[in-house]
Amino acid sequence: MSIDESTAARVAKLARIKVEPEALPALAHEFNTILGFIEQLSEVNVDGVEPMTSVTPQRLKRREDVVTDGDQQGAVLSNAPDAREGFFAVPKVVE
Amino acid sequence: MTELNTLGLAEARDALRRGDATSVELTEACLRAVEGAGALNAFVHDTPDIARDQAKAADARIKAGDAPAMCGLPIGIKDLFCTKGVPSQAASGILNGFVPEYESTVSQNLQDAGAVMLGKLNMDEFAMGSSNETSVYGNVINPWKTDGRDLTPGGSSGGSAAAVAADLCLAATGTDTGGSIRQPAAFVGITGIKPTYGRCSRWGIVAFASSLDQAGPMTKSVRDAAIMLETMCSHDPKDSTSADLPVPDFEAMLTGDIKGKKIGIPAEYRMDGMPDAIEKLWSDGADMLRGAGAEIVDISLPHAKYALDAY
Repeated sequence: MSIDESTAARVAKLARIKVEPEALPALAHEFNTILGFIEQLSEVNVDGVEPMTSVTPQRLKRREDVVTDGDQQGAVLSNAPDAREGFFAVPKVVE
Repeated sequence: MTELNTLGLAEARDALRRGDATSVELTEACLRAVEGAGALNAFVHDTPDIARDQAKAADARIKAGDAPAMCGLPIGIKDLFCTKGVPSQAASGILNGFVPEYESTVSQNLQDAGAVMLGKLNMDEFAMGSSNETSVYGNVINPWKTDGRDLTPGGSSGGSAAAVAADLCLAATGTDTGGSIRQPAAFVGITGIKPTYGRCSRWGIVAFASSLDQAGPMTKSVRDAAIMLETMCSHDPKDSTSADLPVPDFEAMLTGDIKGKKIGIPAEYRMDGMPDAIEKLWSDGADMLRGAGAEIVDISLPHAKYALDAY
């Protein structure tokens, strides 16, 4: 599988990233390099190999489903470019 | 007397405990060095006021006999770590103006141990790069020169590497996903270690590849790396992959004795077309280990070629 310029343009549009037409060949090339990595990995036989979660034997931690933090509205919103009535305010994005 | 900023962590710690120097003196020496080294572009957010306050507090702790290993020692923090009230941009324009309301676990551990923060250090943008040429703050310059040209300190922890090599700070934090501590440490001739995944909490560090990212120390000696790493490591409930294992006394493990240890040299790491000078370094290194009583074994890591793809 390989990515041509029109596919690269479509991916950019879906990601809402502006890409100038002259930059599309380079972008398509980068996508194809990434796909090349994935293809090379697919040649490895992993039959019967258990997934490894960590180099040291451990299980993912669990904890009680209780609130451990909170009541920090001011801190949470302190870096917001625009905050109103305790919420992040963002430009309208749905057409 | 030796300039205080040229000391390593172990020497400075011992000098502070003996009362031969104060943290305020150490810190002022480093701040002067930072001020005179703008050309390296290593420090990007200086925090002299925080440093002076922390140094005074550290001196009080030392006087009171409560002095953990890192107490009073001035260090630099890579810009990838969130530091409360101090800009943390991961060297990106996207995070311009971002001032965290919280402190990363690793920098908090250092702070709790009394370390003094001189400022934030340059790096490749979002830790993606290995030459420190993708930073919004501009390139970092390697303090070493072979001729008139500016050389790269490596990356992504290039600011940390340059700052430690140029004696602007006693040590610095770095992070390593695919070489970002080890490679710049090698480029500037200092010590850096990527610890085993899970040793250092990733909480508060801007992520690159979460299953590979680890913080680690960048220092002037192996002993210094052991001292600083021990302070950085902890089990942290805020990072679900943080290792719930006791942190050993790394410094006490530096016996220098490797007699009888088996050390494998992977065939796959010797690239085709490796320059003779580097080949010689490899074989000299193996000879040194052999001379110290270790057994050198040639091994093969057949999946090594897939590492970059997986990364």
